[in-house]
Amino acid sequence: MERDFYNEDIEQLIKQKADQYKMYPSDKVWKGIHRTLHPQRKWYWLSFLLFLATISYYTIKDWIAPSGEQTATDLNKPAEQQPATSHNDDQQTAVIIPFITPAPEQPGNGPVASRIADAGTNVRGPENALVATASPEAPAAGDNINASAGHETPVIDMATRQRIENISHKAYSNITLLQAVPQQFTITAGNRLPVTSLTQVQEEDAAADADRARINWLHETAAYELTMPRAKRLSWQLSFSPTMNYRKLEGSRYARLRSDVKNIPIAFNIEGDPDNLVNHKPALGFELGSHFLYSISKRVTLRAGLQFNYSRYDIQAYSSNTTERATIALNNYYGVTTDSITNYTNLRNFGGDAAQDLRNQYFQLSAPIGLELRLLGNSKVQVGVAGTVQPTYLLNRNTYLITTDYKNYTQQPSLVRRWNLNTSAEAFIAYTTGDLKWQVGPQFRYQVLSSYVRRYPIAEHLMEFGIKIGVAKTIH
Amino acid sequence: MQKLSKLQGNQTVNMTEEAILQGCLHNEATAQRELYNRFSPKMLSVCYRFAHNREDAEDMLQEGFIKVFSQIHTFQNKGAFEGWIRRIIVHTCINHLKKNKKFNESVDIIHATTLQVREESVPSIIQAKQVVECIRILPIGYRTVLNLYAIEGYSHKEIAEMLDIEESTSRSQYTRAKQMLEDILIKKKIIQQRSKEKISWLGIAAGQ
Repeated sequence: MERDFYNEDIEQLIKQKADQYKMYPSDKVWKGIHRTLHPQRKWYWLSFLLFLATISYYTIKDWIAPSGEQTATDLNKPAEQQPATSHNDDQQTAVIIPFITPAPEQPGNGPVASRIADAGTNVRGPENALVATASPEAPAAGDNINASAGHETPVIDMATRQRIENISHKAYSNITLLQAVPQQFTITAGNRLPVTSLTQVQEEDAAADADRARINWLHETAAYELTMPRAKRLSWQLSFSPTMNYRKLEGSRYARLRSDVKNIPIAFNIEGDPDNLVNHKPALGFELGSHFLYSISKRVTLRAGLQFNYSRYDIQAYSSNTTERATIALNNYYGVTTDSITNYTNLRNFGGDAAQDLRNQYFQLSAPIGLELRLLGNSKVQVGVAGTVQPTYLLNRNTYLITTDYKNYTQQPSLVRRWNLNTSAEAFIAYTTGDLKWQVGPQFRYQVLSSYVRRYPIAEHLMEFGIKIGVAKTIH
Repeated sequence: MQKLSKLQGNQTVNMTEEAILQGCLHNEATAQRELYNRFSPKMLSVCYRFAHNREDAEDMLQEGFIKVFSQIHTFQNKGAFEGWIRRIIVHTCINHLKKNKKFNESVDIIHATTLQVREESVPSIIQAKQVVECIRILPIGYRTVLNLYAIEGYSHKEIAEMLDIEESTSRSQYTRAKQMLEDILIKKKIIQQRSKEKISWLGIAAGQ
């Protein structure tokens, strides 16, 4: 009796004192909870920022700061406004060499300027340089040179080419005459440049001096040392794929390691393929990726980058008015220990008071690395295939999983795998225009490892089918 | 309906428990924060009694509240909201101990009969914290059973199911745990040696 009284006394006081005690958690606890409960907001914003960054990149690249070749081939500008030095940064710019033909050959015609146009093809020295000549007042009818503003080689008939070569040869031999004559030139028929009168020669002396220095440098160095244009191997790709997401369940993957049956509630246990015991249906998701492409050869391209995947599927379940114990039996560690996890849930798999659709969502960040192989095509249109391996980090773990007796659904984040591995295969048709390469084609993505840790006896593999749309821009 | 008044930054937020519940059902962050603010101090002390250290306790608390918010639609309004939350938190603590294999270590300690308690291992804080710290000195197996039976009110049968042990094991562990706790409290001079009279709680008397 005394003992009982004492027992009650000490138990009561222990409970009373324990209940009085309060502790205040640090801020990181709430931050962790909030991050888990509201993960999508952050990634929606990041996706939006990525989209804005892409738009900004193209705006700056193409509109605000256009590339050098457009400036170099702007034939409507006077020579004085052209850049003073050759544009050698992308190996495709026109090299402009104003020079004069000997006076005896064109008496009374004033200064003649010529242009050596390296049109972006292999130009190694003066023997391949194309020189267009024209008098300011009357361009020769046969000197019709179609020098486009792009990358195409000027089209010159054979007679003109012969004349150009002669003039070029003489111009090189008479380079010193430039000192006395101001430079003026026109390029193509119909594109006449403003002609400077002889009375303005004095005002242009300074410019002429600069040109002379430049021409001498070109003659001595650049014209003979033009390098092969380097192939532009690196490009940046942005891709988007609407995807349809499926999953495959496997229940007997770790059959030999399954837990002792005592961990499962003593009740009728359902056996069979879990794929046939659950009702799930696919749902739409998407993939947003940013990759760098590096051409190893004409056919093979290395691809690496980052991508964000939003995958989801729906589970057709039932809700119950009563809360039930949902026990998940875990795989044992080679018979040493057995474990189970118990949660409380009102979600059932087979039947309940009302039908309820559960939605499992996966927010994944991946770093794909793989190869593209060009199978067919030319410089404009290509057909190819690609494959990648994608180490993946799962951003959220609040997905529903089924209990090991297949009766209930519950959430247990600790059983959801953070790191995973995906593979992807795709075929595409690509169209190249300028620096941009557009591509479209089907893709398939498969999650190699189960969505759950090895201790959870049921394995889930996600599958995504999608149509990938991508655009790649060459990086200069 | 009980009213909540909580300072958030410079704003005072008054929400009824029903409003909090409805907000949490709609996954509203404000309501979730209110619920957390109200119950987290008490629930952290629950976790702390089960955990190895404060860091583990905060991990348990975080995981437990995530479960609370994700399963809040299962709350039936039949019992106390706090009791429902507390049950989830306790189960989270048990799962956490199992997951980290810390609970299984206690299997070896079932047969332990003596425990050396160093004088300096008990903080000199009195009353509630003093008792809680004494409980935490117990081996984890003893501590878990004592927490579940004496404080959380689970039966030995329920404890046996939760911990995957026999009911008789739960009973014997509780008996030993209580004896060990009594020894600690006496050594710490928090209670007096058992006598024919009702025991007196020195610490409590000192605090009054």
